[in-house]
Amino acid sequence: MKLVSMKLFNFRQFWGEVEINLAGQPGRSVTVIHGNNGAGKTTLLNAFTWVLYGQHTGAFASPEQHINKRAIAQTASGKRVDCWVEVVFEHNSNRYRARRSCYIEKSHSGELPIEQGGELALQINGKLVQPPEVPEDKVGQVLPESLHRYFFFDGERIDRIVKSENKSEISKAIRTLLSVEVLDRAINHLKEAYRSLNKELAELGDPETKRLVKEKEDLIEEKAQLEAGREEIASELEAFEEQKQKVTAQLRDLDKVGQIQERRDDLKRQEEEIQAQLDRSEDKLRRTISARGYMVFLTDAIAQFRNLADELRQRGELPAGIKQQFVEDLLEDGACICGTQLEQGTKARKQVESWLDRSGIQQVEEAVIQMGGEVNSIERQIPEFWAEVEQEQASIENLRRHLSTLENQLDDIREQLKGSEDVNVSGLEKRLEEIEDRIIDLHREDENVARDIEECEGEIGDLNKQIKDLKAKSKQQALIQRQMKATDDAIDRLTQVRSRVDSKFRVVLEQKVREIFRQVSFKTQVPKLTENYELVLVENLTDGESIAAPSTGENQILSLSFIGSIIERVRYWSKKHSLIGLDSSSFPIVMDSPFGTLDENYRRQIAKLIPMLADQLVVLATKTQWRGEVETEMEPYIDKEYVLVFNSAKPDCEPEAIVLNGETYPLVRQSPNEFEWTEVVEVERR
Amino acid sequence: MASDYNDIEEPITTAPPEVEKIIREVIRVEKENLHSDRPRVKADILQIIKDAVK
Repeated sequence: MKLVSMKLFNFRQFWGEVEINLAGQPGRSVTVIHGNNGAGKTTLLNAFTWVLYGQHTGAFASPEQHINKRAIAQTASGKRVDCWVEVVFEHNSNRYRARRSCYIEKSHSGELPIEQGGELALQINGKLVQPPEVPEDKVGQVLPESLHRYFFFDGERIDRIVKSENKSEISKAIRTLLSVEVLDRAINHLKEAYRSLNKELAELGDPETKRLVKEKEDLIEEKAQLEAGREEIASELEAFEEQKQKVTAQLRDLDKVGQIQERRDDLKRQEEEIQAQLDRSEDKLRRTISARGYMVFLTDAIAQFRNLADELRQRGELPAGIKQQFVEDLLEDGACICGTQLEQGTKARKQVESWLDRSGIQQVEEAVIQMGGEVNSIERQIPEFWAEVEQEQASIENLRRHLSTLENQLDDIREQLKGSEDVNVSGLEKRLEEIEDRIIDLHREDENVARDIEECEGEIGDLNKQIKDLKAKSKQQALIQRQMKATDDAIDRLTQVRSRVDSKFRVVLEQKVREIFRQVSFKTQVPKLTENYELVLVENLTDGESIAAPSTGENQILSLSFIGSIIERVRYWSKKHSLIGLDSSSFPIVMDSPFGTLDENYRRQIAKLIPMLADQLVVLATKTQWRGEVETEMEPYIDKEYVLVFNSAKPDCEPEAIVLNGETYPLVRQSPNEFEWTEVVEVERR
Repeated sequence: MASDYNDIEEPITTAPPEVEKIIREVIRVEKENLHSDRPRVKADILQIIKDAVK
């Protein structure tokens, strides 16, 4: 599409008829239209979109009102006020004249009636497009309506086209521009046609053919269901993978807190263990004291016992020396061991009898011996008892110290954990494990379904063969079968082309967007065209790619890089691939308020690039937007230049002017009457 | 690089004449209707097949 000229009649700010011719020569294809805010720049952008598509851009206020107010005011009541916009453009050596018009019948009450009309009239090479042909269809074939927003746009809002909420629109636009949309539609429609032919064949065929065709249809349906199931599995898998990433990230974030908590739990366990040991030691000490503690109080009693025993020894009463029984035996025998007779009343017998008294001490002696042994044992046990008590006390002391250290450490941890929530790391880990198990299950399930699909395909193939093998009973059957075979072949070939387009065009377009984006942006982020043809900015991190959250400026650059790349690539492909490529190989860009809010460097880079990429460029700019760097970069490409002169009815209006090529042109001037309107003045270029 | 693209349309250009005719006609119809979604496209395509294979 190459824009040639635009005419406006009573359209919004433009009173009467004005004409703008647009630059379009190779190398000098830029038209600049200068105007203050409110002078009609956005109106001119909308004049294009209204004529061609009946659409308005977002910034266009009161879109239901097109007719110039001065024209309405100066028309007598009951008379008709017309308004129209006409755009002339060329496409594939044909000249198109598109005019959209509307009107009102001015009422006597002074109330503004609703506008009538609004239809598009289109002439191609001077011939009016008439029913059953539809003018909108003809314009759509030149530049599809779904794509127009990428070529007629408001620079301040250009960032919106790549925002995530619009990703399906841009995906569709890319698919259309890369011919993927045409191929997909062709494949789907051919598949539908194939089914229709199959049905016709079933209706015509013999019972056996009918049975096989029915069986095949059932299998095709089963396969479609299995494929749908697989898609569900894929989306479930995607959701689980996403959850897995989230939980992993959460775990990573919580790892530090988790480690501290683990340490806390360990210390608590130690504390409980030490406390139990301490309880055991104290109990043992208590039991030792209660069982053997009395011993230490026996020292005096032992000394007393020893004195008594010593005294008995000193008196010679101990040891007893002779046993009582022995003395009694001597007396009974009446003879001493020395042979002396022990007759009654003899001195010898009396002496022996005196030993009877002395021998009575024997029991005392036995008691002393037994007691002496016990006393010795007690004396031996006393130091052992003390040693045991001391050892236990030392152990208790040690355990208490340990316990106190643990309590201090736990206090420190409590302080560290203050403010952080109690993290259920193990819960999260369990969840992660569950997710991973589910992912494995889903992969397994997917493999099973894929196998089922493969089996289905095998059976369908067999049936196809059987159906083919059946001798066609009529010429009609044979013909339908040939038609089906040709359709199947066409589907197969188009699918191959689709796959080639997908693998080559997408990659090359992505490279081009990246190349342009890199020339302009200083950031490390790079544009990426996903498999679903969505345009995103990604940054390369050590653990893979991550989708970046771009600023408005970055989105503006991304959008402009995308538009520039699309124009450049589609131009190339359309020439190279005349069959599948779009009919349009050249695209204009009409840009209101160029470069939005970009800073100087970005403005310069974009201003340098766009005229080289676009086949034709119309820039609508204020004095500020057309400053230094933009003017410098675009100047060599400018062929046409206009100023929108606003006639202000404000009594104290401050006139404003712009100097272009050494000449001063008014931007705002005092209106000679009570009306406000805009005139278009062409700048003389030397 | 440019030579890599030369074979993109090869599955179409090497098709038997009636298949190539179907593909070319179907693409033409789809291009014409790209901006809209008319139900008659399906009927047109069936007709293209029937016209190509007689």
